[in-house]
Amino acid sequence: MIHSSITEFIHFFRSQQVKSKLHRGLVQLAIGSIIFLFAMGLLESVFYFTIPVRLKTAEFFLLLFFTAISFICLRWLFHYKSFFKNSSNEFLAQNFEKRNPKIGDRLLNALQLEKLLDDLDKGKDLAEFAVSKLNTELKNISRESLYDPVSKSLKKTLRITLISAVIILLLLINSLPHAFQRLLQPSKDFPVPLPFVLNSMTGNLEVLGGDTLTISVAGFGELPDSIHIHWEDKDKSGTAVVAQKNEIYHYTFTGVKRDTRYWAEFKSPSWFSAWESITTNPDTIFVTDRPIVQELQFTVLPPVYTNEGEFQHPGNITDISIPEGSRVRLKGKSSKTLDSAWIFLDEIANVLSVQGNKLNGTFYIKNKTNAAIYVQDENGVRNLHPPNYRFSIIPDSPPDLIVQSPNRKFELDESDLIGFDIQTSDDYGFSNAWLEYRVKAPDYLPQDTTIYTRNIAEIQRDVKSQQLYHEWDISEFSLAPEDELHIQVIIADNNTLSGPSLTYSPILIGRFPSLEDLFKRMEEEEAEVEEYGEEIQMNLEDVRELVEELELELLKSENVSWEQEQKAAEALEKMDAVFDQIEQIKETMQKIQEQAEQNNLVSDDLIEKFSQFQELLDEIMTPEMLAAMEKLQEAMEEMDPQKMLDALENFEFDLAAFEEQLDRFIEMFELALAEQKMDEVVKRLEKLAEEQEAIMEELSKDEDLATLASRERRQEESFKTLEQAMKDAAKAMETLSPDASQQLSDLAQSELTESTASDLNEARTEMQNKNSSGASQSGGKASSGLNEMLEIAQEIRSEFQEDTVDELLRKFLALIRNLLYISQEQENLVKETEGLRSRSPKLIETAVKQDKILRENQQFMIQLTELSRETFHISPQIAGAIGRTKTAMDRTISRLEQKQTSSAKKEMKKILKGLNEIAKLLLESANQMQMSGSGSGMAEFMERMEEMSKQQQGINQGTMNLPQLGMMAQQQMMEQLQKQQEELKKQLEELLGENPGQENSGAGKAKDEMEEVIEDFRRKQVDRRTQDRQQRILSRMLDSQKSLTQKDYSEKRKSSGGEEFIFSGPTGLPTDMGEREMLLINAMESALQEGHSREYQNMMKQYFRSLQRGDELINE
Amino acid sequence: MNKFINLILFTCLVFCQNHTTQDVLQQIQKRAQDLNKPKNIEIENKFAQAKTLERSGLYEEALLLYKEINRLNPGTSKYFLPLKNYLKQTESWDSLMVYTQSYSNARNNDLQSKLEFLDVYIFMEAKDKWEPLATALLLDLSISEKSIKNILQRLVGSGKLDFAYGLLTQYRKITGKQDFYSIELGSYLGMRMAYEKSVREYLLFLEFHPRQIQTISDRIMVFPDDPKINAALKEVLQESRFKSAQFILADLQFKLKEFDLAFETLIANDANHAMLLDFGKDLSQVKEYIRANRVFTYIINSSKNEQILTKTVFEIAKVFESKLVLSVSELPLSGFYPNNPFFSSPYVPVKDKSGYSLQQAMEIYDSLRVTKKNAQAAYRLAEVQFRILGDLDGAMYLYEEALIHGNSKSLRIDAGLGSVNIHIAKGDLESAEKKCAELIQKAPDVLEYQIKSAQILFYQGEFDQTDAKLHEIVEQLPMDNYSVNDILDVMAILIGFRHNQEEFVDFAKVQLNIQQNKRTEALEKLEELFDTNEIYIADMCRYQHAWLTFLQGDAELTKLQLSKIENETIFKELAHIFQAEILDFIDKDISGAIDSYLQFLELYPQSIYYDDVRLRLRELAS
Repeated sequence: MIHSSITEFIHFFRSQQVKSKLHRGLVQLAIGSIIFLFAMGLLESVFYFTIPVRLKTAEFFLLLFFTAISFICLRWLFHYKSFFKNSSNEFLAQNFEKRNPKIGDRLLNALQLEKLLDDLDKGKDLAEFAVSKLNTELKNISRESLYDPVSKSLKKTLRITLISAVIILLLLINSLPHAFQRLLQPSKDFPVPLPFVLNSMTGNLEVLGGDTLTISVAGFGELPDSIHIHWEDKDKSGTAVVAQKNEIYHYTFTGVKRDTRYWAEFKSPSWFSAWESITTNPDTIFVTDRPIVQELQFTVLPPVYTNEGEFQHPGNITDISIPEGSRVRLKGKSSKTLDSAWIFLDEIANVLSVQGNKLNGTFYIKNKTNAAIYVQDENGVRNLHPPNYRFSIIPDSPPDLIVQSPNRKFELDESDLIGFDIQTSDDYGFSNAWLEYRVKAPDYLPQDTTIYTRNIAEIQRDVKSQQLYHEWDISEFSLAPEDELHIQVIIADNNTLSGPSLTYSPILIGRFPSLEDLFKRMEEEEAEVEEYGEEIQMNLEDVRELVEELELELLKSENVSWEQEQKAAEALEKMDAVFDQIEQIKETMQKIQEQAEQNNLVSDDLIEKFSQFQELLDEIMTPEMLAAMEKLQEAMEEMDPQKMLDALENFEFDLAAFEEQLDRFIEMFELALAEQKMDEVVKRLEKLAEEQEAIMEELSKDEDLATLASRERRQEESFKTLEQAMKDAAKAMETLSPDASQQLSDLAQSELTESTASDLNEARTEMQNKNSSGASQSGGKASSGLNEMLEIAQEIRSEFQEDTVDELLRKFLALIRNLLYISQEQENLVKETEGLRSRSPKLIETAVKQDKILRENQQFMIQLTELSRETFHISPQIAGAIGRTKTAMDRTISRLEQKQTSSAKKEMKKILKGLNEIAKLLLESANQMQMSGSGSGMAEFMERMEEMSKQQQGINQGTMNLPQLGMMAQQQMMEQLQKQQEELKKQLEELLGENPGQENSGAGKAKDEMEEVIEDFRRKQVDRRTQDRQQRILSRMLDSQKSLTQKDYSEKRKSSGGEEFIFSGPTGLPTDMGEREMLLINAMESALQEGHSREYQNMMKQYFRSLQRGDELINE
Repeated sequence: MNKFINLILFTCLVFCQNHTTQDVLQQIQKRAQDLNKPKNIEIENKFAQAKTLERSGLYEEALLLYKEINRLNPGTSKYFLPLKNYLKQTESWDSLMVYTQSYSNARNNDLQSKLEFLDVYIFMEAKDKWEPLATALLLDLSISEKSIKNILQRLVGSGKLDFAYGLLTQYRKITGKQDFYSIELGSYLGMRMAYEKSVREYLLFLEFHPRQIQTISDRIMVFPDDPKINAALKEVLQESRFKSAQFILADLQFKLKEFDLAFETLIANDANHAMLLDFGKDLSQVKEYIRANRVFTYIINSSKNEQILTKTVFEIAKVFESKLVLSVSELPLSGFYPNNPFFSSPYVPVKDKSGYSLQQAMEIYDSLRVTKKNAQAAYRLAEVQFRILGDLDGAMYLYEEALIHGNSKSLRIDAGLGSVNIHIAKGDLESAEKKCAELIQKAPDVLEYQIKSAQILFYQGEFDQTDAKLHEIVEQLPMDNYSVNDILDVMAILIGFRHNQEEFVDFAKVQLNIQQNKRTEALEKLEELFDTNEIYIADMCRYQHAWLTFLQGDAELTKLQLSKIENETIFKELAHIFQAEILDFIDKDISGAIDSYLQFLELYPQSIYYDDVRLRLRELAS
């Protein structure tokens, strides 16, 4: 290679480099263009691009191609000419350094030296030498080596591209050339080839409104199995898929009512497809209208006796229920002017009158009927679908009848009143209600088989649902014990069409119980209590055994075994059973108490005792016992033997206390039973004597001797049972009061008893023999015998009561005396230690004395516990005071031991105080017991309670009048009433304070209610609740009096007169006045008035009746 | 890659290590300061929850919460102390140390936190730490005395008594407060049974607080009655140069019944007369009348204080009175309401040889009455004349005098009651009623007059009025009043008569006769009541009859009467004891008494006298 200088070499190097780049660029452009063109060709062959797409593609390709060409050329030029320092000498010299490492950077150095040669003064020769030396070396480099040919990989890529293009072209020779052709002519439209075409065969159509028609679409070519038929009218649109059948697609439009456009369509199943869908042109179905029945309305006209007004039935409900005997009026319109109209009632045509497009008519429906309404327009076109209706008949049902009270079997009491609580309902009202009854005597007496009737005047004929309260005074029948009254309630409705329907209640049997029945019932329940008691004792015994066994086992074992856990669980279960039994006893006791109160069977004290028994049962289940059980349960869960052992010990301790309490209950219960037996004897005698006197009185008035003989016969029966009762009572009292028991036995076996029995017998025989004078003589003797016996029995009873009360009183007095002795000792000790100092040698002596008192007190506590088993008069406050005193005693001894004299003295004072308090409480209890035995003190209580009840009544009235007053007046009135209520509460508190036994009674609760009422007044929130509270206060106050007096007066002898009388409903009715029943009736009434259909109304009635019956069953 | 991760981990570790405990604690402290109120409420809730857990026995759960609370809010004693207690119990000293450190940092190492550290070091037995800390704290004069006592309390409470005592000595020396912490330390030592040391500390306290002699004496007297302890105490007290110590010694001697020595100690140490008078009274109380008289005589001879002299003379008279009165019945358990003024005679039985004492007492009272115009003396004299001599008119005069001149309300009341009693004793219930009404009019609030009025109504046989009156009184009287049980006794008896009010009148007359000292008449009337149909009344009358017979000195008749009480009333039980006691104390028939007592125990296992009888039986058997 010949060149003159380094610069020349570089210039040559540049020309070679530029040429290389140009060639590379052209090859790259060729590859890119081929790929693009073939890609577009392939896409066009599949998708048949639209003209705009093809135009855009062509524009894009050309722009890109020419831009690339321009870029390659400009680059060649800029580098070749070294414009803008592109491929400068220095750059190329540096570049050459990498290309030829042997020459390395010497080319750049030589280039720089060559440029400086002219300017160099020193070393020029050296520079020239270096340049020439390099030049020499450069000469040895061949020219070809400076040209970089197109790379093999690029050439390879170009080759692959070309070969691929040729292969693709060959493979798609059918479509690709056409595609290129379309691409070359982008602005020309080329149609897309379709596989088939669709044509509507039916085209546009005309039909009558509501008609059905079928359209057909024919297809040519490769037809698919199904196509879509699209349709739309002015309101809605839809699509249906129809199948091909013989190259035709059919579709049926049903009930076409509006103009409808339709067309067929098939969408391309493939995404790589030249076409999207194949469709037909839309066609239209034009509709011509038929007459249509519109705005139908039925008016039901019920029969007159139902008192129901006509009512409308909307035409859109096809089931029409009408009361039996109703007429129906029909009104309606048609969509077109009508020529005629008729209604088919069970296939019998009834012509309706027509006017323009309106139609109407009235018809009578007797039975369940189907109806269809037809119309015909002026063109003779009928309605296509005549509206169909079903008329059903609501029959007039007989009245419903529920007798809430009395129950199916009930007892007649001394009040001789039967309160009927009858609930009845009918569809349209009632015409009458009455009772049918007959009197059934005991089997040993002749029977009266006549059936009598009694009108129920309270029935309201025009009310559909009502609750009847009917009170029937049966005193006129002079029913005797064991007589039965069989009653049936009958209600008639007001049906005039087919005559009134009657409803009969079940037969209600009212029985006049004999004393024997009443006492027997009580005894049965008492026996139940005793049985429970025995069961409890057995259970407790089991529990005790289990606990002891478990304790022993746990002492030996380190872990709690499964068996031990089971035993503990069993013990707890048994205890739960015991608690349940106690609850049952409580319930039974409540029943006994109620029975005794209701029938005036036993004495006031005894009833009080039954109430106290229930309290005692509450006390038996102490919180300590429950806590002990809970702890045992916890210990069981933890499986810790020590904890379990501790819990068991604790439980055992409480169990012992529990048993003790139970024993107390049982002992006292036995005493109560004995008292009851004695009361029974007296009660029986009273009844016998009374009846005998009545018989004698009637005998003197020459009453029917046969009737009197029957009554005398009853007396004989009663006397026999009395003899047995006397024996039972004597036995029951044997251990408690031997004297009284003996006296009663003597009476039972006395001549007096025998002669009275024979007198009764004789009197009856004489009466049967119609011997009036003989009957009078024997009956008189029997009467005086009975009275004498009654006196003796009463004496025995008071002796028995006195015996028990006196004995208890003596025990009380002994207890008080002992306690006061201890108190005196304590007083002496307090006095002795008044000047005591810590240095005194008497301190020990004092502590010893205090200890002595402590021991005496412990003995006293044992005595007290013993006494508490026999009487309820040991109040809980006593126990509290004992606890405090005992603590003070312990503390005193401890302080004295520590020589803390001053605090010891204080504690001693506390002891004295405590002892005296206990003594005072005991005295109060003794006094109370003595009072209750004599009855004195109670009269004053009652008098004051009565007075206070009147005051409360006044306040209640004032409160009720409040809403009628003005704002200011209300305020003043409220303040006044508040003051009055406060004053009354104060009085009641005082009264209760004087009568400690009444604290927990109804009067005690009334006091609490008063507090709430006062609070209402204070807050100025006097509303319905306040009035209710006040009413409750009054009731409780009245009850308090009643509970103290009712035992003295029989219900039969209750005065009917009075100065002031608050009518709160008929007597003999439940205390809640059947509130729940009324509630149900009201609820039913309002539900029925909601406008539901008859069927629903019937369902509602059934539902409410079942609720009421449920109550009835519970009551029974 | 692994190398890179290791590097990161290492770097983290290094950075974490840089957070020293100090830093952490500072952060905690800062956070604690930043805590706002709502957060405190949250902590309070957690604290309450922790307390609940602790109470429920869930200690582990409570501990976790306490720890959390203290981490969130260090420096609050309320939160720290429960945690400390728990960690102390579980001996988790490391944790305790950490939390104490945190507590201290939060509180800027204040005194309280230092005290907590002291506690922790003591718990940990880190002697090298608690000793210097305690010394530094105790000798830091800027700390309040209360705090110093607190430190000492902690040391002493932890058994570091010697060290604490050493520091205390230093403290006392530095501050000059020689009695500092002495009474507290005395108490503590007493509890730890270091009695000598305790007394020394008490004496040290007493040296600076001589007025507290009674308090200190009381504390020393509490020490057990062990001869060795007593000897040691005496030695310490005797060694002491303070008079107060000697007075306490006298108390100790008195306690040990060394009465003469005690007196001598008092005299030797110039005890004042008031002290001597108290000493004499105490002797009277333990029935050391002769010695008491000696003391009183000494006071009279040596004192010129009139008030003291008067009081002393009174006490002498009381001694004479006490000497002549048969204070207790011969029978410990038996008696018919022996102390109840309604049923017992106002007349006091005197010993046979009581002439001199009686004379002496009367002379003294009379002398005081005349010379000093002393109303109290007049009253006492009246009492003697009425209750011992039965001189009703003389007594009435003196009661009136006391009533007029009495300078205290209680004296006037007593005098008034005395005059009513005279009327009753005369049987003149009308005058008694009149007098009583007069007194009530003058002082309507005095319940004693009301009681007396009820007593008159009782003697008049007014059942309902008496009952109502007593109910009224008992409602007003405080239950610890001495009269309450007497009134309740009467009320209980009234219950027995409620249905036998005619017999009540007779019974009331009996009681009036007793007031009049007419036992024979009373006995006759009681006999009339034996046949009543109410067995309780009959038995009660028989019992009272027996009691009166016994008082008449006829033990045999008494027994006969008692044997007739056969009904199941309390009096049967009482009669049994009465009989046994007669056998025991009067007849001295020990075997008979034993049999009777044994029978009693068998018959009445629930009697309140059971233990008394048992003890007596043991005495007899031994």
